[in-house]
Amino acid sequence: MNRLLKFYHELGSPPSFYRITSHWLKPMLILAIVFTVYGLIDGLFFAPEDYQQGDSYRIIFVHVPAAWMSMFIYAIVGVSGIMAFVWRMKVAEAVMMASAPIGAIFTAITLLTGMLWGKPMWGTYWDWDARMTSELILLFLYIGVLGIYSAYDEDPRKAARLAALVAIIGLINLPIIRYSVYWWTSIHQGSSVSLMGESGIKDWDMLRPLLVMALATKFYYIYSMLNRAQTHLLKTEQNKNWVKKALIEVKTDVQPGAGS
Amino acid sequence: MRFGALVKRDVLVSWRKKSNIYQPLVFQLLIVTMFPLGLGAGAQTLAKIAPAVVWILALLSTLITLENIFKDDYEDGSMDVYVLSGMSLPLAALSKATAHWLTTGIPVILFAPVIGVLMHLPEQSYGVLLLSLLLATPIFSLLGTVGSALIVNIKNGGMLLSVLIMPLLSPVLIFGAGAVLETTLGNSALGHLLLLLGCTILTLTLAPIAAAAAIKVNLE
Amino acid sequence: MMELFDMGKYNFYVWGSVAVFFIAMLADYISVSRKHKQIKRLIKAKGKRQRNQSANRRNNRDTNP
Repeated sequence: MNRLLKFYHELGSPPSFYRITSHWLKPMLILAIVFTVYGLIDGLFFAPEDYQQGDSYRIIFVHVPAAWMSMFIYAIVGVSGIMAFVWRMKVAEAVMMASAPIGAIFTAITLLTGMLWGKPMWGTYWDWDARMTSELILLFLYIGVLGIYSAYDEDPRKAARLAALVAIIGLINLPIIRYSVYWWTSIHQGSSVSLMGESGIKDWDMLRPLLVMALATKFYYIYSMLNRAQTHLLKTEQNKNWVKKALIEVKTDVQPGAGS
Repeated sequence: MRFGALVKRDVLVSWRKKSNIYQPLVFQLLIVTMFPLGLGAGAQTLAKIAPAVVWILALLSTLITLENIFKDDYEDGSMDVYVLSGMSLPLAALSKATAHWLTTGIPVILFAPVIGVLMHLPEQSYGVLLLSLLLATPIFSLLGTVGSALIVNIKNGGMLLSVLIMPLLSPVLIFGAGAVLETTLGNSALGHLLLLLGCTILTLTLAPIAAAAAIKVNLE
Repeated sequence: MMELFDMGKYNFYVWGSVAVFFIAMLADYISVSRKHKQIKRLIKAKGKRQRNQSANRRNNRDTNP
């Protein structure tokens, strides 16, 4: 327990966060690539065909992992927003602002692939069904967090705190928005074809590539987030000693190797 | 006491400016003219979309006034005075919202039946229309104080303000416009109105705190 | 081999989705690594400039008197 606590505190300070996570970047990227390649080959070529939807169901291998990530990352944005706002942790600010862009990208992927699935399934690219609509609103929430941060360019720390506030407000509202949207569709339309629910993936050969892809997107998220968080910390702390030390140490590490 | 004084001052300022009060109404009138022009003037066509149009116009016309709730106070230093005077910030935010509701919300509610008539809204819907707007306009003003406090330091923040509070307003629109729609179909709107009331109470308790937090960050 | 790639009438939708996924990931990867390199280069250049300045100052101090 003590060790875990110590690790947590270490991650809370920008220099050690930078030092520790530097070692994680490459493995995460490699894992993401390996899992993506395996998951997609397995899913697109070897998973059995769905008896109802035919080959078109293979879109879930990119659509569903992206949808999971879009919500998972917003939860991280919200929680690190709370940490940034209440405890003013610099690392939490970095994690929040580094997570928002990749979360927005996953949300956009979810929407686009959902549209590409909707065309053969519903006969139209866009249908105001509950999932699509709440996903679109989720995209607006991401844009709000990113927008206020980039609009407020005088003081990045103040901007991060305002963005954290926006993220927290969004986190509180997200359940209400989801509930109201689901309620709205249940009243105005019959239930539309569900992309996941009805066909029900039970076959392990279908589930395996899906889970592998879910892991792949998680690894890529960690890579992208840590990389952006490091950039964020280097930028906001560029006049601090540890930044200079960290970047010069990299140099001295290389020189003896090159000399010998 | 201070709450009342602050509300009174803000209402007076808006009243002297006048444009704050009639701007949303003129905006509604301009936009509502465009619907028959673009859609054809058939009473049936208009009546079908009337609940949504009346509601969305009320929302949009309020939206254009929100940017300025805190702007003047921030620029002339009154905001610092609120903080220095030891007044509780959520209370200050609540008084700003109250003043905004009195000068924008009430005119919008009173004007909604006019838009309803122009859109051929069926007669049985006016009661619920007024009631739903009575519940919803405080939400507009309260969320407006949050949004306005967030963007107070940003130039041309109007667009950003819309992006920030549109997702928060979507449940309000669903329940509010839904209530009016139900009455046009001859159904009871009670469920919608109760959910809307829930939103109003929730916003009333949380929005002043959020607005106060945003003010604090901006003044640090 | 080719029939593996053939999704029947769903070709466009399935491969379109996969393409969307890859293009988005690739765009993110490129923007992430470019920004990271940019900020590192900036900081290193700044550090060099400062070192040069202080070195110059030291040289001037040595030669002037």
